[in-house]
Amino acid sequence: MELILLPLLFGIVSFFIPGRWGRISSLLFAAISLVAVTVKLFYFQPDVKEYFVNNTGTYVLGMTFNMAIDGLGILMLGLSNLVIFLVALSNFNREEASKPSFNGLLFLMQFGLNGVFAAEDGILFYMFWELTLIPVFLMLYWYGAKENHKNLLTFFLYTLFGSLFMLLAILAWGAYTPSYDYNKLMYAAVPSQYVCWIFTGFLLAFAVKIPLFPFHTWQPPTYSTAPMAGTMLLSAIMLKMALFGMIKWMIPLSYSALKFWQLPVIILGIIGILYGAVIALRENNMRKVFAFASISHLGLIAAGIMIFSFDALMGSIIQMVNHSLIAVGLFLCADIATNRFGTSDLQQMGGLAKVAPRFGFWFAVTVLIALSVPLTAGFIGEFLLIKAVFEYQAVFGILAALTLVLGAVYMIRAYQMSSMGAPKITNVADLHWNEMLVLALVAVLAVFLGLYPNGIISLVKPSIQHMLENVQDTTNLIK
Amino acid sequence: MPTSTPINIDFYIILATLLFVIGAFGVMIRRNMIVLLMCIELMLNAVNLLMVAFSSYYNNADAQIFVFFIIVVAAAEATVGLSILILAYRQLRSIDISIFNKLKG
Amino acid sequence: MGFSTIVYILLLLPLLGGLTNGLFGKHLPKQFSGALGTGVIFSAFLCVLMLFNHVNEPVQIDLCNILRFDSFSLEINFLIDQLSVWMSLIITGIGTLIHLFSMGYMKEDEGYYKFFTYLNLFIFAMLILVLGGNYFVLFFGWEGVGICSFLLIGFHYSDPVKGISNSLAARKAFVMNRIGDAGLIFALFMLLSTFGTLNFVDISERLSEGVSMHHLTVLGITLCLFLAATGKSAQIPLFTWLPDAMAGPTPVSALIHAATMVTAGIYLVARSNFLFELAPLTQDIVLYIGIATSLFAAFMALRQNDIKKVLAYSTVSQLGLMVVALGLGAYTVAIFHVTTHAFFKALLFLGSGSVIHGMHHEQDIRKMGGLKKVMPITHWTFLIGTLAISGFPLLSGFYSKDEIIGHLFDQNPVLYGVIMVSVLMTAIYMFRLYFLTFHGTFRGTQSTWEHVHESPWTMTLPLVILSVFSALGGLLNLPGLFFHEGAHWLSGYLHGAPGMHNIVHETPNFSTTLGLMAVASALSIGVLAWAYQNYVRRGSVAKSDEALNGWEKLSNRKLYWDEWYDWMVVKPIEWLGFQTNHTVEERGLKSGISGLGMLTGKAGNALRKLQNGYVSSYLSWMVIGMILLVVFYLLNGN
Repeated sequence: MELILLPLLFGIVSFFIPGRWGRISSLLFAAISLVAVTVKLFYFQPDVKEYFVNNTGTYVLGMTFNMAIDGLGILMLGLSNLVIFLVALSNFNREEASKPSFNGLLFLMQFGLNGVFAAEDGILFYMFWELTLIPVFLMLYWYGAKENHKNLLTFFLYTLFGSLFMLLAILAWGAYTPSYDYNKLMYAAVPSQYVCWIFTGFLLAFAVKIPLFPFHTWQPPTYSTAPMAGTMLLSAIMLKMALFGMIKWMIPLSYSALKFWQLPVIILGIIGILYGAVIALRENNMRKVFAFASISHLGLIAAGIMIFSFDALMGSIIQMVNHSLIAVGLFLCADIATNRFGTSDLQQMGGLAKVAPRFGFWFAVTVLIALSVPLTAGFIGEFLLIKAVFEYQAVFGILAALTLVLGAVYMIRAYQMSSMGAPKITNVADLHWNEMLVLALVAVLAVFLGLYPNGIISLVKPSIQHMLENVQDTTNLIK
Repeated sequence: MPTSTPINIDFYIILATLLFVIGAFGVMIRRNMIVLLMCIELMLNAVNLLMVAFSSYYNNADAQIFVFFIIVVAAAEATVGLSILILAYRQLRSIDISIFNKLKG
Repeated sequence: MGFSTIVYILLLLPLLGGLTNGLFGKHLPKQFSGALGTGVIFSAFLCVLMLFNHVNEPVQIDLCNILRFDSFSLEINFLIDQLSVWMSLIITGIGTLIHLFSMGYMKEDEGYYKFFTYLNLFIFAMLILVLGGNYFVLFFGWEGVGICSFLLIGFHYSDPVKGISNSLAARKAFVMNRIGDAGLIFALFMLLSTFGTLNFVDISERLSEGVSMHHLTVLGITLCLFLAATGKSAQIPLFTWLPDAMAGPTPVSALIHAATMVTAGIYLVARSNFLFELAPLTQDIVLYIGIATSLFAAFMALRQNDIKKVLAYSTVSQLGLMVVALGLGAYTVAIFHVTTHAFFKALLFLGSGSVIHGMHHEQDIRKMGGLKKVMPITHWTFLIGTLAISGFPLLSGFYSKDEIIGHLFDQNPVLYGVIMVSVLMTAIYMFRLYFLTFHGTFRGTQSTWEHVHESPWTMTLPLVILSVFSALGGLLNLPGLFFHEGAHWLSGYLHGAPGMHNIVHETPNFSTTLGLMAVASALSIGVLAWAYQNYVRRGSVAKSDEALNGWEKLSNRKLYWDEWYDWMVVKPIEWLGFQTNHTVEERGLKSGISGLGMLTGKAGNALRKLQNGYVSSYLSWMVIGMILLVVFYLLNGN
C-alpha cells in the first residue's frame, strides 16, 4: 500500500519545496520509491495475488476500492517507478527540475500510474486511468512549446473521449454483478450479445492510448512539442497502461469477443508497424522519427497481445519493458541533440559524435538497443513476438519482420544525420553526468534483461498462466 | 332556497382555455412589456379559474389554497416585473421587448 | 585443460582485449593498445591450435539457458567440431596478421585504440558465430559481426570530405545484412516449430534418423538460410554493399570483406548441409546464384580503377565460386576455397593497403605505376597473391578453384563453360591491376613520387607470411592425382562435422582431372602473357571515366546495378514514406480527426442560432413542444 500512497505524499510535499531544493528532493523521492518497489520485488511471491485493500462488501455504487498486485502488477509497478526515477534523473540538470509544480506533477503522475497497475476494481481502474491524464496534460501545458496548445487540446480531448467508452464498458459490465471487483467482473454472466460491445468500448480507449493505427494522429505532434519529461512519461509508461489494460482487463473480461476482434486488431497492428516505419524513413524531425518508430514498435506489441498465447504474451511483456527503456533513452538523446543544435531538423544536424564523443557513444548504444540486436531485451521480445505472429499467420510474420530492416534504416539514418559527417557545430557541452547515468542505466538494464529474460518470465508466468486458465473457465460459463 | 343547477364544468374549461390561449398568444405576439405582463396575469388567472372550478366540482378545497398561493406569487411577480420595466424604461426610453435580446447565442 | 575451459578462454580473450582497449585505450600509449589487440588474438590462435590438436568428434559445450518455455527453449552452447575449429583457425590466424598490419597502417590515426577495440570485438563476434552450437548462438554472432562491420566501415565517419559517404556505405552494409538477418530469423522460427530445437547436432541426428519433413518446409528453411547467406556473403541480390564497404580502412577490408565475415554465409550453408541436402531445388538456386554472381562481379571488376574496388569485386566473384561449390553439395571444397581465398585475398588487400599507405592514401591505379622499384616486398608478395587468385599452376588458388570446376564439369559441362569465362576474367582484371600498379612509369605527381616508401616491418611481415601460405595453401587438399597419401586431407578432416559424413562424392577420373587442370593452367598463363604484352610492352593505361564506352562503361558503372536498385526499391519506398506522411497522415487521418472535432463545433454553431434572445420566440418553441407532446400522447397514449 505504501507503494501507492508514497508518491501521493511526495507529490503534495513537492509542491511546497522551493526551487533550489526541488531537484534534489525529487530525485531523492523517486529513488526512495524505486528502492521500495525493488525491495518488494525481491521478496515477492509471484504465485499469489497480494492484496493491499480487500473489501468483500461494497461501498457506494458497487465500488470496492480493492487493490492488489500479482506478478504482472508488480512488474508494471516497478517499471513505472523506474521510469519516474529516470525522468527525474534526466531532468536533473534542466530548469524544469527546479519548479515545484513540475516535481509535484511528476509524483502525482506516479501516484496515478501505480494506482492503475494495482487497481482491482473496475471503477477504481478508470479513476486512476483518468487521474494520470491530468498531471501530464498540465506538464505539457505549462512546460511545453507555447505555440502548440492546439495539439495539446487534441491530445487531451482525444484520449479523454476514448476513455469514456471504457467507462461505459465497465458500467455496462457492472450492471450484471453486485460489485465492480475484478473477480466478480470476471465471472459475471453478461449476455453474449453485449460482450462484443463491451470489448469494443475497452478497445477504443486502449487503441487511442497505445496508439494503434489509425488512432495515432495525436501522438507525433504531441511528442515533438512536449517537454522532454512529458514525452518520456507518455511514451515510456502511459502507453504501457493501455497494453497492461488489454492484458489484464479487456481480454480476460470479454474473452468470448476476442475471436471477433483478433484479426482486425492484428491487421491494424501490422499496418501500424509498416506505416510508422515508412513515415519514419523520410521524416526529418528527429523527435517525430522516434514518435513514428514508437508507433511501429507498439503495433507489434499490440498484435502480440491480441494473439493471447503464452509465448506471445511473454514477448509482449518483455517488449513493453524494453520499449520503456528505449523510449527514455531515445527521447533523451533527441532532446540533447535538439538542444545542442537549436533545431530538431535532422537536415541541419551533423557530426555531433565528433565534438561530443560521449554522446556519440551512448546514442549509438541506445540506437543499437532500439534496433533489438541480440543480447538486448528487445531481441528476445521481438523474437517471441514475430515468432508468435508468424505462427498465427505466416504473411503477417513476414510483414512484421520488415520492421527489422526498416527499423535499421530509419534508426541509423537518424544517428547518421545527427552524429556522423563533418561537425556542423563546435564547442558544445558533452553529456552531463546525470544524462550519462540515465543512458548507462538503460543500456545495463536492456542487456541484463536480454541475457536473463527468465527473470521477467518467472515473475509473470504464474499470473499469466492463471489468467489463461481463468479465461478458459469463464468461456465455459454460459453468458 | 332556490337551487340553481351548477354550471357544467365544460364551460369553465373552455373559458379557461380561451383565456390561457389569449394570454399565450399575447406573450408570443405583442412586444409591449406592459401588455406582456398583463398577458402573463391572464394566463395565471386562467389557471386559477380552472382550479377553483375543479375544486368546487370535486368538493375539495386543496386547489383553492393553491389559488391563493398563485395570487400571492403573481402579485410578487407583478411587483418585480413592473419595477424591472420602470428601470428598463429609464435606461432605454422604451418598453419594446424586442430590444432586449442581449442573451442571444 | 578441458575442452570447455579452452573454449571459454578463447572467447574471452578478444572480448577482454576489446573491453580493455575500449575503456582505457584513451589513456594507453598507442604501441600498448596495438600490441594488446594483436596479442589477445594471437593467444586466441594458440587456443584454437590446442583445440585443433584434440578435436576428434563433435563436442557440445552447454553454457546456459536464456529462455525456457514449455514448447521450446533457447540455449547458449558451443559446438567444437572440425568445421568450427577450422574456421576459427582461419579467423584467428588471419586476424592476428591483420592486427599486426593495422599497428603500422593506423599509426597516424587518432582513433587508434578505438580501431583495435572494434577489431577485437569483431573477432569475438565472428568466433561466436562459428563456434555456436545452435542457430540461435550463430545468430548472435551473425548480428554482432554486422554491427562491428558497421562501426568499422564507418570508422572515418567524421571525415570532412568523405564522412557522409563513409557513413552511408556503413548504413548500406548494415541494412543489406539486415535483410539477410530477417531470412535467418524466419529459418529459426521454422526450425523451432519443426524440430523444437536449434542445435546443429540434434537436428542432424533427427534428420539422419529419418524424421519426415514436408518438402515445402525444407524448401522454406533452406531458402531463408540462403537469403541470410546472400546478405553476409555478398551474393546476388544483396551483394552491392560489399564494394561500397571499401570505404572502411584497408585492414578492415582485408579482415571483414575478404577473410572472415563474408565467409560466414558459406559457413552457414556448409553448417546446414544436412538441410540443404534435402532440398534439391534450393541447391539448384544456390548453384545458379553462385554462377551469376561470379560472372557479373568478374565483369564489373574489369574496368574498375580503384585498387580496392577491383579487389572487392574479385571477392564477390570468388564468393560466387564458393557458392557454386555449395550448390553442388561439395561443402568441403567450398571451405577449402574459403581457406585459400582467405590467404590470398587477405594478402592482396593488405598489399593494396601497403600501396595505399606508401602512396599517402591515393587509391586510383591510374595515378600509380612502376612501384616495384620502391616497394619491393609489397611488389613480390602482391605478385604471388595475383598469381594465386588467377589460378597459376601449383599455387593455392589453382587447386581450390580446380576442385570446384571439376565438380561442376562432372554435373553440367555447359555451366562449366560459363564459369570458365568468369575464371578468365578474373585472371584478366587481376593482371591488369598488378601491371598497372607495379610496372610501367609512375603516373602521379612528382611530389608524390618522392614520398612513396616501403612500409614498416609490421606491415610487410604479414605480407610475407601470407604469401607463403598463398603459395603453399594447396597442399591442404591435393587432388590425389599422383600422391594418394595425404590427398584430400582437408575434405577428410571436415567430414567429422555433423551431417558431412553422409555426403558422398565420386572424384572425377584421372584424365578428366588432368585435362581440366591443363585448360586452367593454359588459360592463366595465356592471360599473363597477353597482359604483359599489353600493359608492359605496349604500355597501355587505364582510360579516364569519360573515355569509356560500350561494355567498358557498363563494367565501370557496375552494370548500373545500384541505379536499378535505387530506381526500383529505394525511390519507391522513399516516395511512399513521403506520400504517407503528407497525404495519408496530414491530409487524411489528421484532418479527418480534426474534422470530427470541427463537426461538433459546426453543429453547436448551427444550434446556437435558435437562442435568439426573444422571449416570445422561446415561448413559441415551448408551446410547439407542448402541442407536440399532447399530440404524441393522443396518438400513442391509448
